[in-house]
Amino acid sequence: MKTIEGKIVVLGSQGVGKTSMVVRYIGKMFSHHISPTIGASFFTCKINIDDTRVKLQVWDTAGQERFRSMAPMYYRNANAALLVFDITQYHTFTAIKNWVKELQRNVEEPMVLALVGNKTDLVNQRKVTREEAHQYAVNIGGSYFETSALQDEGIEEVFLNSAVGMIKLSEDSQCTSLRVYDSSEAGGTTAILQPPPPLSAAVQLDKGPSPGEQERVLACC
Amino acid sequence: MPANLALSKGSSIKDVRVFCGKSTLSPLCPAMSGFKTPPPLWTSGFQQTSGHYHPDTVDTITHNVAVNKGGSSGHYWGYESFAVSQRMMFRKISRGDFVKVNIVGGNLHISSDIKESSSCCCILQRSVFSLISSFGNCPKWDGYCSHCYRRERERQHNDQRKSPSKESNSRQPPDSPLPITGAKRFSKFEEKKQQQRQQQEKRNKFSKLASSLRKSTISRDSGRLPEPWLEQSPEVERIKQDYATQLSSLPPEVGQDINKRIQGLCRIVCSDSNNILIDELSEKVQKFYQILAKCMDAHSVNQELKEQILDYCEKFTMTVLHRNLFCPPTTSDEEKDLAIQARIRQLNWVNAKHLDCRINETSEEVRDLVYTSITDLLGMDSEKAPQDKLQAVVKCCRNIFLLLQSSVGGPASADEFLPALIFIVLKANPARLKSNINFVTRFCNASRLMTGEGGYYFTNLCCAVSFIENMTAQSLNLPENEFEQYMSGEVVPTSTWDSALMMYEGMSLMYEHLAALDDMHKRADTVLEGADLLKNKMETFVHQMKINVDDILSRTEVIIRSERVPTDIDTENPSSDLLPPPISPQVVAFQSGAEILHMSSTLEKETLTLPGFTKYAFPSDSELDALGTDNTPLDGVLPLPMSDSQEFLLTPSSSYGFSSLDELATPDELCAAQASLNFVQGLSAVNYDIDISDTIADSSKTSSPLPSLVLLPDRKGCSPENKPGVEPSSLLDTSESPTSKLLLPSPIKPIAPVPGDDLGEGCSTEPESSSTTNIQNATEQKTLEAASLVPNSGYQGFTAQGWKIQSIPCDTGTSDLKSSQNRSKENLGRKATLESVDGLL
Repeated sequence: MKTIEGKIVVLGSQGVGKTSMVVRYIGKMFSHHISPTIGASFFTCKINIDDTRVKLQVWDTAGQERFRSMAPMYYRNANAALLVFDITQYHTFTAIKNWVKELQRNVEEPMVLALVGNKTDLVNQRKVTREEAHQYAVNIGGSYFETSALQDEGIEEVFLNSAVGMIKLSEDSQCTSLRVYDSSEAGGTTAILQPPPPLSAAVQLDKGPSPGEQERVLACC
Repeated sequence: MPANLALSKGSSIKDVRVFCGKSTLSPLCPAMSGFKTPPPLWTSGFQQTSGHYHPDTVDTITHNVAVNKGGSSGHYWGYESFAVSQRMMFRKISRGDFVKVNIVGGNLHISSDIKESSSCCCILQRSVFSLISSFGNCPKWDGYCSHCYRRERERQHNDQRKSPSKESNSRQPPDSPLPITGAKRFSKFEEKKQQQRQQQEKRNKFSKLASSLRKSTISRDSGRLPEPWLEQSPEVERIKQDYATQLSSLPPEVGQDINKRIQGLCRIVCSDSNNILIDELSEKVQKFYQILAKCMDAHSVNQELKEQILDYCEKFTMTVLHRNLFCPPTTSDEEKDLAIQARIRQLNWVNAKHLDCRINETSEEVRDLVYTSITDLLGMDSEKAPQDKLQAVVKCCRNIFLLLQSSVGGPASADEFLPALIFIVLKANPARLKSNINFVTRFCNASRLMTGEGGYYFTNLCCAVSFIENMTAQSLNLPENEFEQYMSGEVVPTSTWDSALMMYEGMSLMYEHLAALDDMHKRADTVLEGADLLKNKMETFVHQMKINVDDILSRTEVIIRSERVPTDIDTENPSSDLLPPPISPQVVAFQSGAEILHMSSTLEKETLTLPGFTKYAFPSDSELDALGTDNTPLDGVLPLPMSDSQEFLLTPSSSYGFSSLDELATPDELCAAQASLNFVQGLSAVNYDIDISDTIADSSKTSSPLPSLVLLPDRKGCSPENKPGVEPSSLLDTSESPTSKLLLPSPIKPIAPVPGDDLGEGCSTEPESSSTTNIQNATEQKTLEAASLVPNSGYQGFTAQGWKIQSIPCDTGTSDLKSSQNRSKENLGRKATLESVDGLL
């Protein structure tokens, strides 16, 4: 059985419901395993799709503008990004466009992009039309979902889609940061270890928020 | 290992005098070679003083710091047993306190802060000193501490570039530490410089000196250098033990291969750590991890075991090579450490509010968790393996989530977590923060660092550090000038953590007091409840008592009557004495009692029903009405039947009782009175029979107990007036009672004409006194009748026993007076008893 380990980073402005979404998902997945109260900003889950096991590591990020500059540290080596916006607030959708630009600029590895319009329960206050969002998602090569963290609608699909996307990525030989190994067969030759990124980390810290060129270079070597 | 450095190398106690306010920091210890004296006057804000320990100092250094504060009180913050237990210390200091700071152990360098806050115009939080010392690196750094060694290296490097003249070596940075230990040590170093120049240069990466010499030094070193990692320190031993089972489960050839690789890496790093750039080393180590992983994959080691073995390799190599790889002198890590430390110190005014961090600083639980997470974060420095450092971060972050949970009241999100982590980092100001972060990023297995919880939290920590480094007024949503003021220490925000601390102290005190108040309130309530209960009890008791007393009184009434009755008997007796001296009264009484028991009951009925009496009573009644008002004064003079006084003679105890009741003072007396009453009661049974037999009038009186009951309260009303009049008489009574016997022979005396005039009235008034007030009662009429019956009864008695005739007028004369007196006494007594009972209740 093939196992894929991937990292999903949840991006979006403050107050769009990133955490609620994650908490909702954790609550569903882990209600009997883990107390969701410990913390909702990081969790792992396993999704089995056909004969592949996908281990997802979900990294939640702080949405405050003041931490915006720190984002590269979070999405470094991420294999998928959930771009969450609030359908009732158009500026959160424009913020997503900035996020995508940033990702495209800083991340060379292919990434599964999932555009998520949250708060469908407030559909009567909708400011971002489904068509517009969908069109944008197609443009960036991602898929579009609408969810309601409040009513627990459509969240599972988002994660499931990301997992499927990662499986596709793993078949793509370009992607090196995705950790793939065969857990059933002993002679795990498929193990692709990440390249050492220490320098990038150091550079990151020294340089502060600006993601350096070196990072990319190292990340892909 | 630093621990192996003997204590004998120098005295372990150093005195550092710190006078805050106007600070003078004078290191008295010779071993604290380069301790830099801080500027003479400290302004608000922060100050940092670095002391450099000469390497031959011991691993235990005790600082005695006298803090002479300007303010009245303050706090001392520090880390106790810094590198060992890393317990946060919080001490109160007051003026003139002597603070002893123990710094124990540690590798590479140790820094310790004493932050002193005084309650002057502004809160000054400054580091009193920060000590940087190198303990374990003497052989490697030629006996220099990290700081000196680096400086030395730079100097040599410059020398080489310019002119390799020895003289230039003396050019030292102005602030470079001078080993006080002193000149001897330094001169030794100068000698060394000549002799072992090559050895120095070998550490210089750019050294291009003679390879032959270099080789020789390497060969010399190689004899020594592999030792540190081969020598089995307890830590390494422990790691080996921890992973013993995993290692043994490895295929032997894999195990050997791994061991070989580990040794190879250690050798390379040990020999070349100072010549290779740290990034190259990092790459080497990462490659080493990858090779190990591949090696195990090749031997088809299962995934779980592989991970564990990788952990082992990492822990083992990193623990062994920690000294070489952690904060190596080739990097600027140490400067960065100091820079971030200074930065954090400068930012000590930042509080949770600035960070939009929802930490409830006043909650005790949260505060405890804050301390726990701070301790966890500080614990990162004491771990050696990057993994363990990572684990410390994870522990810290989990505690942060816990504290957020209790502050926010729900699962915390990343939006809340990151500010909280920044807050914790700011408050913890961990030692060698950058070194630790760099060490982990460089040498932690990248696959671990990039993924998993540890990776996530570590990323957050990096973010926090980055945020702190780049913190601006904007990022805190503060006006530019305000931020600058805070940073320069001109202004201190009112609600810093420290003031929050102080406030917290006050708060906790307040809460304590509130709790105490609550407790007292509760107690007061219970007391009040108890009081109410007691009051109720008392009331019921009083009520009960009243009932009882009434009951008793209703019974004792009879007694009183009976008393009077026996008095009648007695009167008869003295009269009998007078009249027929030979007959003994007792015998007569007994006989008569025995004989006329039945008679009495019948007679009672007769007296009640006799129409004649009523006729008689009416005129007397009218008379009484007329005299009613004057009754009371008359009371004292009222003629009493002689019998009363006589009775007293016969029963002295009863008389005594009455007198005592009259005076009524103490409960003892009351008891006595009660006893006497009882006694009388006892007597009454006996006398009762007798009196009836003697005088029907009296018996008629006894037969109507109700009026007497009614009389009592009225008498009470009269009694105070009577009292003064009565009391002397009462004295007379007692005095008389014995005398009366003597006087008795002259019966005419009581019949003295004065009362004699009132005789008719006297007879009538005696009952009247009662009747006047209680006319309404039908029963009173009976009393009146009874009273009016007196003469009748006398007649009756006379008819029964002829010899008693004379006694009747006599009775009316004196005895009436006495009886009234007695009666008043009785009433007084009763009243007294009632009052006393009330009083008791």
